[in-house]
Amino acid sequence: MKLVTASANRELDELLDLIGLSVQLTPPQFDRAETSYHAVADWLKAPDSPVRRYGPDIFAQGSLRLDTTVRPLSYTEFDLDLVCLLQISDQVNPAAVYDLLLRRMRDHGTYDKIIVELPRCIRLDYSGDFHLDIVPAIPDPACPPGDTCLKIPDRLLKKWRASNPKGYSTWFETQAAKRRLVEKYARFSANANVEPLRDPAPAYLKPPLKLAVQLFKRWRDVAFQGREDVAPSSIILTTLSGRLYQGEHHPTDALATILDGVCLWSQQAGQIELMNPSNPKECITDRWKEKPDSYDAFVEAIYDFRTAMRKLIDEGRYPDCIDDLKEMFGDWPVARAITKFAKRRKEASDSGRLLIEKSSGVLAVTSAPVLPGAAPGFVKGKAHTFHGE
Amino acid sequence: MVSRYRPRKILGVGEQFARMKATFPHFRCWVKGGVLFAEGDIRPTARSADYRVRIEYRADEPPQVYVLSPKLEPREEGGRLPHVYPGDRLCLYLPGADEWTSEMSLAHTIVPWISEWLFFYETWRALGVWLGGGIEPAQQKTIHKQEKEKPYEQKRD
Repeated sequence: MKLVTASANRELDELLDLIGLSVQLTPPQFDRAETSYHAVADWLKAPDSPVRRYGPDIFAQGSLRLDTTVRPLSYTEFDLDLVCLLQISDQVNPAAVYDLLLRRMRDHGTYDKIIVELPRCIRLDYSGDFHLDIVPAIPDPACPPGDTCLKIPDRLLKKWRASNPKGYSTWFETQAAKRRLVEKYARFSANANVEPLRDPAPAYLKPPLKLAVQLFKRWRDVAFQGREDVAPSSIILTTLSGRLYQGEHHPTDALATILDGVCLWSQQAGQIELMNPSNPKECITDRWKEKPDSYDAFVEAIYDFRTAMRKLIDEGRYPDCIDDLKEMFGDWPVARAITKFAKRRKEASDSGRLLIEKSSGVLAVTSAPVLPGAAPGFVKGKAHTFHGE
Repeated sequence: MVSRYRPRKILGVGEQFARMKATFPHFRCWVKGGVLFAEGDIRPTARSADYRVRIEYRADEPPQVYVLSPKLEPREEGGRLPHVYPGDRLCLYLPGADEWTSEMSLAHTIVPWISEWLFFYETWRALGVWLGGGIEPAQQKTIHKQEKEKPYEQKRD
């Protein structure tokens, strides 16, 4: 049976939002990450620092910058990326710039103990919490004034390659701020037999595109567990989502649109090719060309994901849908989300914010206590204590 | 605090009937032998099953609440349901604490509480945890017993 009602999807939106919340950095972790990278910046800029003369500028890139962090499957540290921009000519060897940065970091007693030297970046390992990967960068001489492009070392520290993390985030934020004009559709829906419009997204929901990206990445981690070598990269999933998002107001709709879009695109284009929106010369899907089996694995998996999401949206039943969600996003984030979902209702019941719909009995949570007569189709509950034998 | 000298305004069977019909028109209500029967469907979430529930109310007595269908199931065979009285009647409020009195409308207390009970029951079925709070004297007894067994354990702060 097809089940499409406004409140059915409102609850699903809430659950997806809570799953996103379960997998992302907690506010204290976010604060700690921020404090850590400000401390690194201060250390590099200190008066006695040999790096100081190159005007170091440290900023977040990737998921930390976009607010799309996802805890790795193994429940280990978050992978957070920073860029350290130094005013150095691109004639200087990337390895030399890396060494300059590394030496200064090693001078610090605390950092020295937690540094892991990786091929392209310096990792600070805050065990159990997150690790900060610092990538050295230099200005791109070809960059037009006012633009944010820069250069970072290639994988082997042999040469510089173009990058633009700030430009990418500007593009992504613009996509995330898109809003479909619902009012326009509302006029037509008055007589037509279509889904009633939901309320605008509640304030606690994060922008639907950002949440969709988190869920997409989390799904990838679950779906490609044990075959990580063919898993699509985060930049591919983020860029696909940003390209295909149509300004939906709700995460359920946003994710459905993105998945439909990816499936349709894969049917039309042979192989999907994506350019970096902040650097039109850079193809971010080169790996799919080099390893066609990773592209095939992606297409196969995305069809399954879309089918599962469609089934969930159209027919998903509570509480059976909990198992379907666990299959897509893993056990603990879903269990945590359901617990939060239930606790929210319990707290609302205790504080006069729980309503029940007269026609169905469906529970609804409001953000503030409801005044008499303010919600005509609903009855306000009363605080009480479940009892037993 | 309710003054003990205020005359109590018990809602009779007829008045509860009227309030039920006015608030939940889809409930079927009838009176037989001085008892109000109210039967209707409730689904606690938009994606939940429709639970057919029945409330039985005799003036000035605690209402009895049953789930007729689908049958309530424990999590494992032979297991027990949380927050029920014998006969799987739902335990919706703390007796003797004025959470519910015969002066209150069933439609504005018992019915919302049934929906909540069903929601926490469904969630308990899936997760194994009752997240609706409450007190189960049987469980309390167990806790008290445990405390009694080691009454002099030092607490250090």
